[in-house]
Amino acid sequence: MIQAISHVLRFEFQRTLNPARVMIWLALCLFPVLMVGALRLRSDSIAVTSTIQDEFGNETIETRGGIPDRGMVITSYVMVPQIACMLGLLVWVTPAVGAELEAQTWIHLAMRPHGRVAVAIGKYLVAFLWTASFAVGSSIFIGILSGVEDPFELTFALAVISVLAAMSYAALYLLIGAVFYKRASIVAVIYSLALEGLVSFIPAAINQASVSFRLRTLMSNWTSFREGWEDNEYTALIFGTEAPWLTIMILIGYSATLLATACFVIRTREYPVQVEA
Amino acid sequence: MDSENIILKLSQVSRFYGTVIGVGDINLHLPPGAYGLVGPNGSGKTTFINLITGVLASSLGSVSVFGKNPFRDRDVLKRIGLCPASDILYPKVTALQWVEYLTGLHGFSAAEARERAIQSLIRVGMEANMRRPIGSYSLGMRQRTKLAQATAHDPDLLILDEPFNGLDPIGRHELTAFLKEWVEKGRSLILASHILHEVEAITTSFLLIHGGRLLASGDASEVRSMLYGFPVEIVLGGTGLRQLAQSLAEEMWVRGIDISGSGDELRVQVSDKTAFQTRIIELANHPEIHIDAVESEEGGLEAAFDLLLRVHRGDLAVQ
Repeated sequence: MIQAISHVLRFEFQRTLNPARVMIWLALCLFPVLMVGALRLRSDSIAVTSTIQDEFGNETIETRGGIPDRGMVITSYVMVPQIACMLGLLVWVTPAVGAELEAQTWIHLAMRPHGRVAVAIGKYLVAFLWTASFAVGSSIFIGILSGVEDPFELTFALAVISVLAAMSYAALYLLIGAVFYKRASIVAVIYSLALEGLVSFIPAAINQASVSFRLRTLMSNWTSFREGWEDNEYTALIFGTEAPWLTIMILIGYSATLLATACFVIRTREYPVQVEA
Repeated sequence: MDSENIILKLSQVSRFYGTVIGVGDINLHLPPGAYGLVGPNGSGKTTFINLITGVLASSLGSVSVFGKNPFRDRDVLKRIGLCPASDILYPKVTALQWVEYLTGLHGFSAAEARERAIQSLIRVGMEANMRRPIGSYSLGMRQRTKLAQATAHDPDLLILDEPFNGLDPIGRHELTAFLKEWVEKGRSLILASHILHEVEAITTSFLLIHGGRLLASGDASEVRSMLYGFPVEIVLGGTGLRQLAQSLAEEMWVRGIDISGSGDELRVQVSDKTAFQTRIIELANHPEIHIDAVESEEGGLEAAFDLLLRVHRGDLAVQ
């Protein structure tokens, strides 16, 4: 099985190295950076810097106005693990089965002893690595460009959360692709908007079923964007109260369960391979 | 038959697509050898192949290949090579990358998968083109590439679904030679085609499938023996055939007569061919009857299959 998965990884990476896919990778890596960079420029243009002199004649430079760090952190979080990672995985892993069926190549994979499961896991890993790589790149550039007080904190939080997002969303979209192979991308977009977008912000226990809620919990723990906010029962329901290690374990368990379910579906399902010649 | 010597065993196998029958109630025991799976388009050949390769599960009955259910026990797929009818649609990938990838999925190491892929592509005559993208290939080259992926892991049973589709005469000749060599090496083969003479060039054992049902199996003589008792159509050419038709119409063993508008061709369906032959010799002495040609549909295997299909459809009934 491991040999078979390594062959899928190699083959899929070979297919990745074409100009179109490299361009998508670059676009997804640079798009959040450009957005944050533009925000930084705007922030600098509206900030007012003044020199204040105290009663002893000491001068300090104070900057007022501009976009606070909180705005930069929230924008970065929305752009990288939420939008860019999701878009990358929608392109890559959602059509994992559907694309093979459409290309009439599924029968060749299904005919191999470990073909079905190896392809599922192999494509999952390729999508995860492809997405995580541009997201980490994005996180580093954003840390440099954002101008926040603690860029290392932001880069670390964004990078780790993006890797976890890639891991979880890849498993989720693979399962959607295995079940709804004909309209996988549409179903995945609807699911993402409904559950990961809308339901994850409902201050009720149901939002804990979403990946977004867990990622938000980590962001809340690892960055200072909630400093000064009053904690109450609603913020607890929206941002969570679990410790980071527990949240990470939940995401790993969630991904493993979805991936195993996707493999089971792909292994046992009778996909329409070919019509009578 | 010793169960270890059976490569394929289907017991009351049916496969339904909703309310449509893909294949129905197939019973079959095949020892190692080469078989032609023959039937018209849409007869159930591909469904049959999908069942024995574990791509589909049977709705009813049991399928066993080399003693194992291919849908549940997928290790048996190592012993099967499949060349499906569908085209390869990986235009940017080279034949070598693709065959190496699929060979690797059988569990070979990267080095061994590459070596097997190269050897297999050389065997099918793709040595010069194996490093070009598949999108630049002719149909014949794509067929050869499919054949290479089906044989690279050295299977015991090779299954081909309409492999001659779209091939030019040279390609057909080369593929026929390849498959003959495969059979001569003692390996098993199932060759699905709707063109009988292509199959006859490679094997004399047939599985005739139509409407999802297995109508007949065996070699040519066994198939013909199944037709004993069914009316045989005989075509006569010459002059005075209207008078001949009138004389034949009185015979009890004549099941039907049809004469062409110009009167130079007479089709007679007879249930007793010996009686027909005796009577036709008598009638040939008539001064107004001149018989130039006599053709019997029993003469060719294709005619025998055609007859079987007509029996299956209910166009003909046994005496």
